[in-house]
Amino acid sequence: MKKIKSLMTLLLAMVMILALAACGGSDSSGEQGSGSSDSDEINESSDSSGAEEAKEYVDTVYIGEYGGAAFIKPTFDPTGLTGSICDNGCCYMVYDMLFYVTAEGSYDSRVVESYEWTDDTHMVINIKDGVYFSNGDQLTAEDVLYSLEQRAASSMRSTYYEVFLTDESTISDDGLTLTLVTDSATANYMSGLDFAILDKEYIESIGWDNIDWSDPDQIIGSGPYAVTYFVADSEIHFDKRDDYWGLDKGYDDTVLEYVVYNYTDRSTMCIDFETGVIDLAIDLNESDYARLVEEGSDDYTPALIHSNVVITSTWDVVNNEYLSNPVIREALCHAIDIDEITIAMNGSYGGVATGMLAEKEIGFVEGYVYDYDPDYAKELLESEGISDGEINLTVLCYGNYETIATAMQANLNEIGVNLDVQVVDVASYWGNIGTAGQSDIMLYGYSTTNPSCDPSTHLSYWKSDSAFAVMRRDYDDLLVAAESTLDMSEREELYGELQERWYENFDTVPICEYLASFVYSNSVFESIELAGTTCPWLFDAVYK
Amino acid sequence: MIRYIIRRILYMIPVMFVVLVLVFAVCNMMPGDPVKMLLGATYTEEQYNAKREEFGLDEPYIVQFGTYLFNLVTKGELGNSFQTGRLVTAELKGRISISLKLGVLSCCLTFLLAIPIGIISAVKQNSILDYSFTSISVFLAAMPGFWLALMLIVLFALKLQILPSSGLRTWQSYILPVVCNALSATAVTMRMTRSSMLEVIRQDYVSTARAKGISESRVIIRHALRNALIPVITVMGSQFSAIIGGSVVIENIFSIPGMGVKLVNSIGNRDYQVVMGITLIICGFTMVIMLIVDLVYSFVDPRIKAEFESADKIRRMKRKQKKEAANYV
Repeated sequence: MKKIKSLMTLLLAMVMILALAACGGSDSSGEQGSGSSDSDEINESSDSSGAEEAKEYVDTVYIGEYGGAAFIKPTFDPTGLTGSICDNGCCYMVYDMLFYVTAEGSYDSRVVESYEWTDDTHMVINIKDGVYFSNGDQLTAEDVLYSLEQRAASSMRSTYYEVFLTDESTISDDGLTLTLVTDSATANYMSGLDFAILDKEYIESIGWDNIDWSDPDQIIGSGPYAVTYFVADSEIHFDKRDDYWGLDKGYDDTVLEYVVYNYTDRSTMCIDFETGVIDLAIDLNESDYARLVEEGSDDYTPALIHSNVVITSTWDVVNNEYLSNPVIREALCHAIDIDEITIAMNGSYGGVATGMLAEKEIGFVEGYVYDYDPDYAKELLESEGISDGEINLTVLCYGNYETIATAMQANLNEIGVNLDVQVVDVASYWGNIGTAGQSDIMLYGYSTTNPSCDPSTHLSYWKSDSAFAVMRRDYDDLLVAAESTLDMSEREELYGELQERWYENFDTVPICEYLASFVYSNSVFESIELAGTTCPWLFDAVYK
Repeated sequence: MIRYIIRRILYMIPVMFVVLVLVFAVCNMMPGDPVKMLLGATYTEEQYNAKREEFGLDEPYIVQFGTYLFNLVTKGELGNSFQTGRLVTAELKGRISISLKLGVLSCCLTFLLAIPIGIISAVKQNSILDYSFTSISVFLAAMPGFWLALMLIVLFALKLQILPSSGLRTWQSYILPVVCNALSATAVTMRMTRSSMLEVIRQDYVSTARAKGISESRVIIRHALRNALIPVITVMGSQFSAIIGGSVVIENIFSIPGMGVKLVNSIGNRDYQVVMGITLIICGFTMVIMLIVDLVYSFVDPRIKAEFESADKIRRMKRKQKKEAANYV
């Protein structure tokens, strides 16, 4: 009996200990999403003269973002991010980028006083005096050059950085002017100049390899907010810096604290919005967005993010014998009903593509789209002696592209062309799309995420050294010429010519714009517009 | 007993090795390329090759595996994530505790619910209570975890607004994911407890205990339960391992930054180092749980402890005999 009792006691004790252990450990820093943000009146010095004026602040804004598990990077190391820019919107809260893209798609800078090209390969950048990191160090041209060097040295760098000759770049005696040297005239230079500026002195005192980029205390930037709590893939808390230098420069910081939650499921994010846990939910499900619009409420406003992305379908003219025939390509281009596909993709909210490029891109020419005319398409195929079922194509797709591929399958079937839709995951898609014979069609969304809105990033697919074999390779002359001129009108002309050649060669079918949606609480926001970056501080928002 | 534990721990090494080989092979057979995932859409052939070289992906598979194994054995390192460049151990540090917390709490709940309900169901066999519990358990076992999770979120978070639907920010945040994780395990464990108890309470020694005039509760708890627990413990062990390793869906739905979410993300990005690290951890954890289960057997059933001891005795005896035979020769 005693043994049984002690056994039961032992088991019970174990259960209790385990339960206690499981409940313990690190938890959130305490403050949790209230959902409704209050406004406070705080007297803050808003200029260097010390004149006091009453300013209305918003306490905390809770933001939910969907990004799979990868959105909130497990590090605030801005050089460890892929692509040319700091693709984690949250980095903009802490660091100042040398240049950044605004909601309108233009570029701006908080730390650059002025800049100019003295010749084709020398750019002089004057840094503002009085810009400080959160540890009190002043931001200088040396920090800018150091940050560029780190970004360029990073294994995650993009090809943009190859044009900058950091060794030959010089800094003025006052430490505020940087003369940046490039190896050639480079039109798309802005794509390389949107790196985060790091505090050289601080980093060198600790040593690059010793910095823990996920430790809030070690994340030092000159941005308006400081990280106070950070759990990768889960949440980040940003507090307004009391000593923010930008107040003297007229930069606003209406919100005292931002809390960003990462969601791995969009439905859960929407439920959290509806229950008031978050004030703003970015990137909703199409069904959730449609429901919120349909139900309507005075409490919230659903809206769309026009992210300046156009989704296109490009034929493999290199590896497929049928697709190398321009008449067959023309037939296929006219067989695709882009109106129907747009509705399938985005319901009634979506916009049909109006040209080969996204509308905000440099050199965009409206009108290069193909009319839907299946009868004409069939006639063209007959003229080439193609019988029903003779052409069999394959398309690899992932995510939303499955909707496009399925609709295209129905369209092409109407003219007797078979399309085998193979749904794969993202990694398989990118692993196979450039391999000959894997996919006869490349579905892809062209995005302009660089500040200059220059399409050269995605147009590089058309270059002869592109890793993607599905593309034509006879556009090098235009692309290289466009990249090598600083004359904006000349670039626009070259890009225009490129689109015309594209259109006339029937290489690509522009389909629809890529849409994302968001919803915000009317109790917190008067209005808000999102485009380009999803950095909370850079939202074009008016708070209540 | 100690020899037995040491032996079991040593057995883990070849098992983990085989698991590693399998995972490594599967990862490398998967379509997709970690470097292409990392570099995105715009890169040159030169950059691609440089990155492959940096990751050691240009080496033959056997060299890649050998390097991984060498670093694991000599430095205890699981490599660096292709995506972030950080050590896999650093990447997983916080996540292991989150997944463990969820798993442990879920198992506690399973234990607290399933065993009493299973006992009541068995003791009150064919009663309304038994039928109700059985029906509920069949329902719970049949329900897909993600559906149950969404329904609970809709009910408790959206409609009643009494529990949070995501994250692990407060103690209330644990309730829904833990309940979701525990419910299907509870159903299985409860069914096992019931059938095991039914088998035991019909045995002669239980009837003897009753005949001796011992109260029914004492008969059930003291005499029947102990013997009925052995298969239940086995199921609990496997359920615990399944909960730890398989809470991928629950972590995704509730946006919990645990190992499950990381595993899915890493598979998507073809971040093999992280996939291998997580698999190794889950494998190690499962084997430890199985060892603990085997050890708990010996506490619950003295016959098993005796078996361990007698096996040791026999071994000692054999060794002695061998020694004596050698001396004799």
